[in-house]
Amino acid sequence: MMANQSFLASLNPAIKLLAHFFVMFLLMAISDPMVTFLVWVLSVLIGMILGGWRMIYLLKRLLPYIGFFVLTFWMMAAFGEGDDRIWQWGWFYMTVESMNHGLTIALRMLGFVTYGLLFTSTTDITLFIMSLIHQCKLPPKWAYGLLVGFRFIPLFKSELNQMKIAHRVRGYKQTNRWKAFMRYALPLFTQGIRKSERIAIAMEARGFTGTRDRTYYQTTKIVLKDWMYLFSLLLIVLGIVIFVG
Amino acid sequence: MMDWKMKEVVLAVILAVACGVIYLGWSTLWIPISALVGPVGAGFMFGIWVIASPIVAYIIRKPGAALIAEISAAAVELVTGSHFGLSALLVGVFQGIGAEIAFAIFGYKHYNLFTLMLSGAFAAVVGMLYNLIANGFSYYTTEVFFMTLGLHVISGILLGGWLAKVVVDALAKTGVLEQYEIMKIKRKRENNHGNVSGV
Repeated sequence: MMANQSFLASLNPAIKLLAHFFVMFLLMAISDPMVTFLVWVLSVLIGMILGGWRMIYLLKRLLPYIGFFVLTFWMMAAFGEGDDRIWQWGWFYMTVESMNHGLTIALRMLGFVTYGLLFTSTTDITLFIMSLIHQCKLPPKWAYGLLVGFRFIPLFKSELNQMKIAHRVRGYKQTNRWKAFMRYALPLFTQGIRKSERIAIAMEARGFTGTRDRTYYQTTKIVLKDWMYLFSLLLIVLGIVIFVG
Repeated sequence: MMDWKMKEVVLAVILAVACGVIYLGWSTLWIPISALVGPVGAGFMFGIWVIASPIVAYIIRKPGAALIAEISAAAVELVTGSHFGLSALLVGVFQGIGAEIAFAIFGYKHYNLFTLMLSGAFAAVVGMLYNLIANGFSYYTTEVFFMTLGLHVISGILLGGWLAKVVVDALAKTGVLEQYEIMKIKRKRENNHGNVSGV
């Protein structure tokens, strides 16, 4: 999760998260494929105009999901409920209703993916956690705990790689996926636990108590444009729902 | 949730993140399999996605551990910039609440194979609630829906609950968990016994 230089990146992360969650909840309530499609188009437009997305970037991120889109549509269309039969083959039973449902759900998934991408591609992880402390009143103990944990994601990945290479150097050949899982998962967890203990002690040794009574290097606050983004997004989506639906 | 020690907080988050990294790998495995047997058939793989709750709750044994673990594990997908970021977070909240209920109904006193398996099953059921609301599972025919639910529950019990116990028990044997609740309680039990025979 890294921020770019766009307008969206300058917004308060907590408000941005709230706004996108609202749209996702609205999407859950919409059962019309046309409305869902328009709400999805809106997310692409926001990404292009306010999110700093280029056409190439958009295609690169969304194309892999075409397969997923087709699969979701197929599942709903072929196994869904309905009476108005269009086509039947074996146990697949497609109806007008199930086609409509399939299209709605597949477009809804696409909407979720794009609104999620709008958030993750424009938000800095540290600022996001800071905004959780200042705006959502998350206790600093948990907030800094989370930051420590997220720092471990690349570490876990490189450690797993290192372990695999070390095993290969010593002549280990992976034959069974299940055995390989236990072989790698166990040292990964053990190392994680050892390091977590050391980190916690190091934090406490430097005077970190986890109380709210502390100072911050970075603080986040909510300004007018955050509210403007939240409300205009909601108004436009509600407008689409009311006028098209 | 302020009575957690710092090392418990960091341990919970780091273990959850490790599970989150496993979830990521599992997702790449899931896509080809679901293309082969369909998302309903691929439900047998569901259980791994709820393993963070029983692992962390079994070690730390505090109220809220299961919920926090599942949310942090789901947040990995958000942090790595995955498209499914926001929806994964919502799913994580639902599954975490489900897992938490299993430990809450026993007053956070019992942590054994049964409660761990129950947490996997409940996570599957409450997670299915999200699927009903968001993923349109209510549009499936009744048979398909209950087949999916059944697969998820069984998978949650085995790949979630049972596997969590296997992994944590293996971790306990290595000795890294000596300072955490799971081994403290175990030692207390053994000491009581030792005192009796010592007298």
